[in-house]
Amino acid sequence: MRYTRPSTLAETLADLGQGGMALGGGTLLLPRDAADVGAEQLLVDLQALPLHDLIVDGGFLSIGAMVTLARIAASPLISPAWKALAQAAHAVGNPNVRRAATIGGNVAWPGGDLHAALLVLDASVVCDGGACELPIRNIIEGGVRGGALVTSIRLPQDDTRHSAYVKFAWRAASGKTIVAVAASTTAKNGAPRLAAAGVAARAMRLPDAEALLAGGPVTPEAVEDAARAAGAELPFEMAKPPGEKYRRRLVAEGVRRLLAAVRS
Amino acid sequence: MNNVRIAWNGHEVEREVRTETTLQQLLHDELDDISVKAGCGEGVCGSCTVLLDNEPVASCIRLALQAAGRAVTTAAGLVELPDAAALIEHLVAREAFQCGYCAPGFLVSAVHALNKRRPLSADEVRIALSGNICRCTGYQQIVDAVVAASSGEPPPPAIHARQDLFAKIRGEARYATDVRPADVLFGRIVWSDQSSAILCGLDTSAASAVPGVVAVLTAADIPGVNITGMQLFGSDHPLLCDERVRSTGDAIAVVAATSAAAAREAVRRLRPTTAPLAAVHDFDSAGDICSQFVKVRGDIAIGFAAADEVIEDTYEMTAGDHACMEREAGFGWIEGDTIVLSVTTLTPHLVRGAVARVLDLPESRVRVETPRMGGSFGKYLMPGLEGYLALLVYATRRPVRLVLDRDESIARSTKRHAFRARYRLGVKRDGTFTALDAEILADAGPYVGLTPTVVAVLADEAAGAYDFPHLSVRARGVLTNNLLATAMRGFGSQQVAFGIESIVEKAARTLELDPAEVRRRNFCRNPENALAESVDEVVRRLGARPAAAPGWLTGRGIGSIKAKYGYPYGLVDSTVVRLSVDDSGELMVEADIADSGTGIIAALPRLAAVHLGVQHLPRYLTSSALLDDPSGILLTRGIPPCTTSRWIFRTLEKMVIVPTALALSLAAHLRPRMLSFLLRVVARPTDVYNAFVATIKERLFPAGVDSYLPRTSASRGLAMAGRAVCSAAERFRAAAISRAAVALDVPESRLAITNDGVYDTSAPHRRVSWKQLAPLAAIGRVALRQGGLFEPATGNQSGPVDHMFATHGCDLAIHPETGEVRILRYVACQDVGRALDPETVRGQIVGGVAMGVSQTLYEHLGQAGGKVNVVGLHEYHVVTTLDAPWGLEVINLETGSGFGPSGAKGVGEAGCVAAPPTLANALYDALGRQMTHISVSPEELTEFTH
Ligand SMILES: Cc1cc2nc3c(=O)[nH]c(=O)nc-3n(C[C@H](O)[C@H](O)[C@H](O)COP(=O)(O)OP(=O)(O)OC[C@H]3O[C@@H](n4cnc5c(N)ncnc54)[C@H](O)[C@@H]3O)c2cc1C
Ligand code: FES
Ligand code: FES
Repeated sequence: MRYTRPSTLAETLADLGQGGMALGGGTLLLPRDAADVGAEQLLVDLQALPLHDLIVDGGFLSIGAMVTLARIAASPLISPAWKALAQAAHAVGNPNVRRAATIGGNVAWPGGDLHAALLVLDASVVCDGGACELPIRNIIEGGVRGGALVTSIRLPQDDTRHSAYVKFAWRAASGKTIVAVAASTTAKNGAPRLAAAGVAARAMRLPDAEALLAGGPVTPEAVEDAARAAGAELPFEMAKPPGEKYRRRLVAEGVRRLLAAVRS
Repeated sequence: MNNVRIAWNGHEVEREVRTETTLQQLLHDELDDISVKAGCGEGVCGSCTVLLDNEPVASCIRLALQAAGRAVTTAAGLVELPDAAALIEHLVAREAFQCGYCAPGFLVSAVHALNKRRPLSADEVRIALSGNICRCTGYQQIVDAVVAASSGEPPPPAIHARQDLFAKIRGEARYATDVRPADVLFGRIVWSDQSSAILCGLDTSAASAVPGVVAVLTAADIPGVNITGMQLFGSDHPLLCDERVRSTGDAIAVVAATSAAAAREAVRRLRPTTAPLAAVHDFDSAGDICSQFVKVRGDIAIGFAAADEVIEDTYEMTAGDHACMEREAGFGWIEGDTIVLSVTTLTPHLVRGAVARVLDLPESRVRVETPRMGGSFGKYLMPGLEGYLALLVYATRRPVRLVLDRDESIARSTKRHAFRARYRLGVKRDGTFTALDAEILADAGPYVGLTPTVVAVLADEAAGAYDFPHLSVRARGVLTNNLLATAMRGFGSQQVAFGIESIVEKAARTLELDPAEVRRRNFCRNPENALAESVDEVVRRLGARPAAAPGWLTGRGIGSIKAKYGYPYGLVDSTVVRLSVDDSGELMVEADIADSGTGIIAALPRLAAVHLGVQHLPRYLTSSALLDDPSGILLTRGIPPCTTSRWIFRTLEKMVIVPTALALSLAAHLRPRMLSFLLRVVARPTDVYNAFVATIKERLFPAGVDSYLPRTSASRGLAMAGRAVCSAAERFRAAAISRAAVALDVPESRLAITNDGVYDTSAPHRRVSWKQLAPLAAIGRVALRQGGLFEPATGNQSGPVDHMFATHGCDLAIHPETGEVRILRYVACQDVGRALDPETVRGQIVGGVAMGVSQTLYEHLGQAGGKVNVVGLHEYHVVTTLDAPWGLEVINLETGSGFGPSGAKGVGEAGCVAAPPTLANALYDALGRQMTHISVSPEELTEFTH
């Protein structure tokens, strides 16, 4: 195993282009004494790159790929509009992990818990220092292209937005996520947006539930209908326990709790 | 190799490291900073927490190279800071830690939290510490200490506090994983991936060819006998399998290499050819009985005839892991012609014997050192890794380190016995019990191990805290192809308490009677009505039922237990303590009890101080020389025993144990009915014979320490060693006074003891210091009486062991859609005999309850087809600060009826024995349906609500 810590984007992209593996916080790559990283692998540590900024600029919240989840969870810049993101970051692992884990690593990992929140917040992912910008949905569905570098995550600003996120795990800290659900409402598009992870293999929007909430007032009955629809609509693709019925129940309950939260 | 420079606790250091070297390994292995522990290597437990540029991170999931050029502060570097020093005082005064393995990690996280903001609320502290796991304590006292420190409160005076805790928290205490000989090889075990198969062949050439691999050893490389395990009840457990594998916990080879990566690669390349065989994983298909105990009183036919209702059900408790915070580990090396092992074990003598036989060496050429243990809970009663380690050291003649990965330990090593019991309980309409019929099964795994001792407890405690005029209990241990089972907290008490409390609860609810009243009506004889009093107290404290939050269901449950502590199996159990003063004038307490963190060893100096009447606490020593001297000669006379006396001692010991073991292994091959008959017959003569041999032994070796036994462990420790200390203190005092009487030439009656020595009460300036009285020593010894109290029907000793009595109660809330459970209120009330040390008792109870809660609601091993499905601590959910029950009320009843000093009792296990039934009964109340098995997951709970 080899290690390099490039300080320019060009060097980094060259290293990644030759099969190097990006190293963010390493909290995903390194557990178990780095046992599973291949012996010939080149690790490209991103810490020296200027990817540490968390700023609001030009109508967007822009988060550098190396910003840690602990910073996101605690940042005063993350207004109520982006609360789902802060809650999602706070729900990851434990304090030690959050101080090391980066948003770039989380986004690049298919199981990343921030996905559901980023989906409802219309996030986009900037790669290779601005060479391309993709909607988060593309990254969730297709993964980060081999050799590509996530450089920042951008979220459009909308002060009328409210958002929230809930995670279900069997332990309150260091709990492996079973199901995560995120919701967001804005004045513009009225009906809440919903997304869930933990039923299908990837985080997905919940169009049936969203449709049931569109147009009308969000009454308790509408919430209940939407919750049921949310529980039912995703394809089931999880191999490990817990089972399908339970996961669907959690999605429904997540929708109930979130709609109560974003409405208030 | 890469060059790394870091600022480590203010020093610039530079080292060559491999890319895969973690920051934890750099600090701990290269820089010998033993305050940086490694409980999991997965980022979960936080025992490796360090400050990286002043932010706490898990150093086990960070490369040393990632930290290059940055400042790293470890617990060892923090301790001198005023904030940390004050916090440590608070932690020690509250006895916030037990085994202490987790402590330095907590210190780092806590100091960081204190520096950021103060005062801190309990909730803020719990969040800040949620990346640190402690298996022993239940967190309550840790959080209390941090909250107190954050408000600038002065630390409470800690005169009697546990001295060992300072070293543990400061990260100065050495555990087995902290011994690090130079030039060490990395050992690894090759486990079977089948749970039942013929081993046809094993090609080691590919593994041997990996660069850096020094040894690949199989059964053929064992110079002596290929046997490991307890070896008290059978020698059926091969160290390395050569023909047949019986579980995924079986080892087929061991490797040693110059790097961890090479050892790992070698293991990957070792693929045995196997022919799978039918495997037994379920109780129902398990026919191979390895031990059985029967307990009969009256005639259950009469009892059931007298009953108005017969309540029936079957209850199960799944297997679980001890999850000690220190990983299972050891180091071995060679000194001269002696193999030295530094390992976590409670039974150094068993280990030494077993290792000597494996290597075909005389025992004198094997030395076993037992540094502090990062938890045990029963795991380290039975020899485990030591044989593999010794074999590698022997073959390579080099130091070897063998540390299981956390996921290996969860997936391969010994587990708590899975339990299933079918009950029939006869009860009159008014709630009076008339009869109990219990069929109990315990899953031993593939080998007999120490299962008979556990099965004996299952049988003996089957009736729980109740009296049944007619009783029939049959408890059996069955062999399966699951993981090998071993003792865990309570030796079976936990499982059987869940069973009996469940059927009792079902009886009460079926008859629509108050569960507390039904319990009261049927309690067995107990000192000062402690059981009834504990129920009353718990019900009183719980008070009115709490209101449910909208959408949540609430439930209340209580659980009463009677659980014995002490060896249940006709084994001899004795403890020796030596109190002495040396040339420097320092008082010392020495005993042969290793420190697994239960607080026993801390209690001993305290008791000695109280009984001698001095303020300073004597120093506590567990010297490995003492541990290596089963005959007690070194302890009493200060000279090591000669070979002949050693031999005589060992032979006598074997003579005590052999007939029992023989009868049992014989019994294992007989049909059940015959078996109980046989045991009935052999029990008497065995008993008399044992007593005879023991008398001879006693004559020849008055201080003989029985090396076949674990050093007095678990909650029994205080009772046993405590009394030994008291008797040593008496003699020491007498000896000191008589020596002083001569020196001062005054009558003994005028002399008294003070901190510095002995003085003349009528002329206080006339005194002799301890230094002048040195060397002076006295021995105290306590043995549980053996023989005489064998229960003829079962062959097990129900004799001089003592019982703990307790009732716990809780209110909880459960969410019907998600299965989330919140414990709203928890009250624990137990008969502690005498609360010698309320903080320690409280710590043990709170820790036990947290463990019980964790085992009941959080820890799911997911064993299927003999394989564990959860990975490491990531998925084996030991509770964190955010999950553990909070605000526990602990009430001690003092009946003075215990076996220990002033009537004190062992209580250590009471917490985790009483918690599972208490929770299960509360869930029953909330859901209207009973849990028939634990652990129960939120997913399963939602099945009850839909
Ligand atoms: C105890 C524990 C608990 C955890 N709990 C959770 C949880 O609850 N939820 C959750 O989502 N995760 C969890 N994780 C996983 C992990 O910590 C997070 O997903 C984290 O955000 C990953 O970020 P990282 O920077 O550490 O990733 P790394 O380990 O550095 O990298 C992860 C992957 O992303 C790639 N990568 C990293 N940065 C970039 C980049 N800028 N561009 C392109 N590719 C990149 C890497 O090559 C690698 O494949 C947990 C981990 C631990 C140890
Ligand atoms: S050893 Fe690092 S978190 Fe457990
Ligand atoms: S004291 Fe915390 S793990 Fe033992």
